[in-house]
Amino acid sequence: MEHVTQLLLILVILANLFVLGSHPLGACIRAVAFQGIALGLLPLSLHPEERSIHLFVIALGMVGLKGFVIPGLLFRAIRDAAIRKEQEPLIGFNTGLFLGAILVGLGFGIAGKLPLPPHTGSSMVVPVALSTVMMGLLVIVTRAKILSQALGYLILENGIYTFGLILAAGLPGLIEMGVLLDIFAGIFIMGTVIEHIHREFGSISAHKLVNLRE
Amino acid sequence: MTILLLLLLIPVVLAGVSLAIRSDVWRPWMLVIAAVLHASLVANLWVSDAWPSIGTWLSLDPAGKVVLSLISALFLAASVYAVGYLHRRLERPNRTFVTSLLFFLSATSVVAFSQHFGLLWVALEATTLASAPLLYFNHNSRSLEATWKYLLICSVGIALALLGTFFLAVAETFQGPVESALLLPAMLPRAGSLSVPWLHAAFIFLLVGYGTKMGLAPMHTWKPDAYGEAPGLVGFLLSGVLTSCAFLALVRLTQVCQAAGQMDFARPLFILLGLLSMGVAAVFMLGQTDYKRMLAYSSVEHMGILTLGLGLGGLATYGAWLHMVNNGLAKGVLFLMAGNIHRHYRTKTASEVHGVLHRLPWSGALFMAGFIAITGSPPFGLFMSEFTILRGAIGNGHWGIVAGYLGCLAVIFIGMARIVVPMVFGEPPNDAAASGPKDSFLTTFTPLVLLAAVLVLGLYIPSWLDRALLAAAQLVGGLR
Amino acid sequence: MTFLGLSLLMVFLGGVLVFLPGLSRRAASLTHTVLVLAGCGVGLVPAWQALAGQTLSSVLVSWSVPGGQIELGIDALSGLFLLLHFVVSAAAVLFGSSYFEPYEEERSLKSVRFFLSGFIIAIALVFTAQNAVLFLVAWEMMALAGFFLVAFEGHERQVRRAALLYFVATHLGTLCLFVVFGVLGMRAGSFAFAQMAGHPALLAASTPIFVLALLGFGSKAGFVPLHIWLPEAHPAAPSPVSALMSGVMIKTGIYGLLRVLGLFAQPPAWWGLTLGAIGMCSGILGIVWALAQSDVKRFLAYSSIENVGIITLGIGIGYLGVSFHNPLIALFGLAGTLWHVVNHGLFKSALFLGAGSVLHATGSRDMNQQGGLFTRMPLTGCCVLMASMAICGLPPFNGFISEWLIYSGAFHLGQRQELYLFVGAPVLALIGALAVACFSNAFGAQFLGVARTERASAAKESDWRMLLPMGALTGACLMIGLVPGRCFPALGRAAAAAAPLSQMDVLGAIGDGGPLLSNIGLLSGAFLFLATFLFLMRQGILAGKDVAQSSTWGCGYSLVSARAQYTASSFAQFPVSLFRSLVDRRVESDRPKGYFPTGARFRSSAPDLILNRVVSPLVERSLAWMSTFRRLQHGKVQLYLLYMFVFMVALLFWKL
Repeated sequence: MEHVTQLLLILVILANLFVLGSHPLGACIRAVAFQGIALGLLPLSLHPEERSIHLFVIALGMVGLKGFVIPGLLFRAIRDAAIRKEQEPLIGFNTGLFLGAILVGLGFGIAGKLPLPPHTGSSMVVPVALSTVMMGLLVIVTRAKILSQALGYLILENGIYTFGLILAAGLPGLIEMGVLLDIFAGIFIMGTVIEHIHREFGSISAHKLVNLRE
Repeated sequence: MTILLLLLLIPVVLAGVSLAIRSDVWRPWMLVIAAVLHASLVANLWVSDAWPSIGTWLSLDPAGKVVLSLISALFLAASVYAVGYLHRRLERPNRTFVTSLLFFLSATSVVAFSQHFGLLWVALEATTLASAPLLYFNHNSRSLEATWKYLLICSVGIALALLGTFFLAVAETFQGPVESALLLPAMLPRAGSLSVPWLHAAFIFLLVGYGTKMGLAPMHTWKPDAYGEAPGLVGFLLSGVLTSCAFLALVRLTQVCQAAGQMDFARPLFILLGLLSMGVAAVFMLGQTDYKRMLAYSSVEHMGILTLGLGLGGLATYGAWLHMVNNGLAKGVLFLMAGNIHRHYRTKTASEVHGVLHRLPWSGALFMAGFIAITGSPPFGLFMSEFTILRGAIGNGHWGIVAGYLGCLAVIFIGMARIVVPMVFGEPPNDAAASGPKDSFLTTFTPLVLLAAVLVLGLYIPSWLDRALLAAAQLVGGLR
Repeated sequence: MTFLGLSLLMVFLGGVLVFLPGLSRRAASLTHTVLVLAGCGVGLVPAWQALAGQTLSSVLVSWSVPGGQIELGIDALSGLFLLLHFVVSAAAVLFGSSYFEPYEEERSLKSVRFFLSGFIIAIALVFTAQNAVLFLVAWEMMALAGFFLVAFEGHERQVRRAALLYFVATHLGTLCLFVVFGVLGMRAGSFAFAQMAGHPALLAASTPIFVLALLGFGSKAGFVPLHIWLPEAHPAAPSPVSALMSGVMIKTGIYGLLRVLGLFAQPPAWWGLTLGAIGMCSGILGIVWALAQSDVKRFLAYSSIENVGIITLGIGIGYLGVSFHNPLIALFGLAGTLWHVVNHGLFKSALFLGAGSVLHATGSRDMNQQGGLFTRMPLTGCCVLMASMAICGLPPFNGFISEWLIYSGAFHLGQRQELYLFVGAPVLALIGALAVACFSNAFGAQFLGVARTERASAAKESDWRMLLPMGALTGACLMIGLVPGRCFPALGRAAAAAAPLSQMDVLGAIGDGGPLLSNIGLLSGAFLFLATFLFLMRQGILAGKDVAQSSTWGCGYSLVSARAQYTASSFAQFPVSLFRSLVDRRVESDRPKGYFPTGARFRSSAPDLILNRVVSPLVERSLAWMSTFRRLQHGKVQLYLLYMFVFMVALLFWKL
């Protein structure tokens, strides 16, 4: 199972880099959905010996929510708002990838300062989680469309979730349900606000949202 | 047990009721009903000295009790004002607003009761989500922008706090699986065996995460936008209630650090964030043109003071708890009065507002008094708490901190005085544009009560409150 | 202490009862005035007892705030300040009952009366608090009440600005005091002054305490360069309030300084030298700046700075005496200082009330707009003349006595054969000479000559509620000048309470100084008798004879205008030009041009040097500097998140 875990983790990173590489918005949403599915499968490969219902429920919830429901919401927002598919990044393709690579290195650097927790499954989980969090932040920071920012937030959440998988067995299910619910509600409210912004400003570019300052 | 359930469920049930009510005129009274019931239940807790709990996850401890009581008191004040306010704003439907307020009350109560870091996180995130519709009440482009920024920054912050929570769990399970991970009462006795590097990492993420929620610099950037654009009522609840909840989260974190013997790691970070927040507030207070944003920076400042007090420990921690209560009450006066002034003058630009004392005698006097209170002048309570924190700093012999603390207080005083004094005094404008609603009983009575409470706390701290604050402070090594 | 409680209660009721609904204006005014006057009268009793050497039991009530304790006590030092406070307050309130009447037409005076009462109570508490927390609360309440009183006419831009400046200055001073008392309390382990006194743990922190106390109390007292609020706030405030502020409130700074420094058993010599230097600077600069003013209240404010300078010089001399273990110098310095505090409180408030009376009659504070008021307002004129003589330190008035004591202290210091110790006396002499120039100018411009404006020529004498307080205050000045020997033991007791002097030494020094002072009093009395005798003789000789009065010879020019008189500005031009590098004098003028000039104009003003040349530019510079940071809040949410991100990563690398 070790190889499967590593493969899934690499897929997660690749999805991040794909989004950073300023592809059209639709493709990015699909990449994040794909990332969500990969994450959903991770608990099964990380804890192969433990086949509890708890794990399966989490996996199923993850795949469903992150792989289908939330991407669906985002696609609907694109359709409703008739948004052009380009992402309008604030930095170029090369810079994006370059920064992404730096962040992967940073993730490994910070993870290197922390002792590896036992039963982690793979030594790559922590660095991948941290760099995914940071790349999510990078997407938020470097994208002009607020829909892309929501997407970045989703990537960030995926990173955190990757990390949470270390603890999958240790955490009570109720908390995880709460976490998932909150994330879902968060994205839902973000979607609603994006819709309002589109109606109010006639665009969803963050450049318009700079009236409040000092 | 029953009390606890009632405290959490009454607002939710009434939220359901308010969804069903058709009339915008009658719906706001649901707030008052919920607040009165909530407050009487909390008062009952004090009278009967009960410490209810449901299982181990939800239970009341001294720190939670202080925060819960503050939430209840401030919400009661806000609810009475809200009736007056919403009756003036009948052009806007208030169904979402009222419902969200009630959910907000419930979520903040959960925070106060929560003994589990995961649950704490869920509840705090729920408060973020419940407050987003409150910010957007005015439904204009500016409030929309503020809401978006609030949502995005706080969501990212709270996500980092989630990561921190996970780190904390890793620190706890590092030596091997444990019973009931992340549960505070279980964690404290075994805190010595937490993995130190993971605890440190968890501390940083939780500090940044909950610090965002609390509005500490440099994560405070949403605050001026949100407080500036939201109705004064919402600004009050965010600055008084929500920040206190975030402060409670930091207190929980401090409890763990203290039990693990890691306060030497935590203190400098708290002090750094505290002074940084005060400094940022000072810089942005000078030359501020918008009086509601001024209040937001004042909130950043006071959160800095709380964090500083927590970091200094000992006497200063007691001062921080006292300050939390005082700040909540005084912010109420200021935000609600700013709301009245905004309604009347129809502008938030301080230089366009003159002669409030003349036009709105009650609001003007209360705004002025609130300013005096919030800047820590006797005879108001904030003087006592700020002075106690100063004594804590002096007692520790940190002269640099003393200088930074007082320097920021001085600059902030100058900045606020330059805005408030010309607003309150001066000739009122003659144009008909600035002729919104006048003071009414509902919109001035509660701030008056809040101000009286701050005044009383400056002249006399009741022994029951003193004991409760001391007990709360003792959880994190405070003393008096 | 029962008396003090009763007194404060009456003053409080006076301030609160005016809010009773249904009270007519007259009744409210009467209630306030009567209750406050009665309260002040009752308050004089314990002050007098303490000064007379009785030990009064202190009040100790537990107070449930951190570190706080309601502890009120009156020793001789408190008694002295309290005595002055209640006398001046009573005078100011009685004066105010008439002065505020015209305002009553357009606005409610309830808040003024409330804050006036609050101001009086807070000052009384400052003088009696024996606990640092209580002291700070009283101190700041005094500042707040003072702010609302200064902002009485807050609808005027100038007044608003002055009130704001006062508010900021006083708050910054208070912040320094927070540290002073915080350090004292934390080191001594208690906030009671009695526990702090002589506590060994204080010694290590004595220098920061001294410096911060100097800043905190000095900003209230008006030490140069912390005086900047004074010349703005005094003119802005209503006259009775200016009288209270100048007569009493700025003395709280002196009181606090004496209280805090008195906690140390062995003050180092450099404290005395520093205080003396500050005093000399304030004295000289204050009087030089006063010369250049034409607004009478602004002028009086600068004169207050000068007098605070003299007072501080006295403290310096006294402390040097303590450091050199010379009780005579110590007593002369400190008793002279305390005496000057009382004296200045009396004559300066009389002068401010006089200015108020003139303002009430003519509607202007500009000395250059008055003239010839002596014939129309003879009683006000007499009071102002006597108070002016007193403030110049001329016998037979009280100013002479206190300055004489400080001179004696300075001379005794000079006998130590060190040059720098000798400068005190010449500087005092310089200040005195300039003060005479100042006040002869001010009195001459307002009361002598002929009226320059119509309002001045139509001025009417004020009513008895204004005249009685002025008369009482100037009468007190004369009384003290005539019987200084009687007052001296009380002053000695107050000085002994202010500094660590042993009782024996004090008695000895009093024995040395007392008879001398009695002789001075006798001489003054003889002088006064002679003057009265001569005046009566003149009256007797002239009785029944025609006394012709005609205008001054105009060198044959028959179109003499009232505006051709010497004005205050022209009178002061020469002395001001001597100090031109110290005065920021601004002149606007259109000189007469050609053989037949159509018009000419001359206008001079002297804005505050420190405020306009140092503080304002500094504030503007730092505001500009700070506003560069404000660009950080630019509205771009992505960058906000970047701050967060960078901060977090930095913390991770720093701390992990």
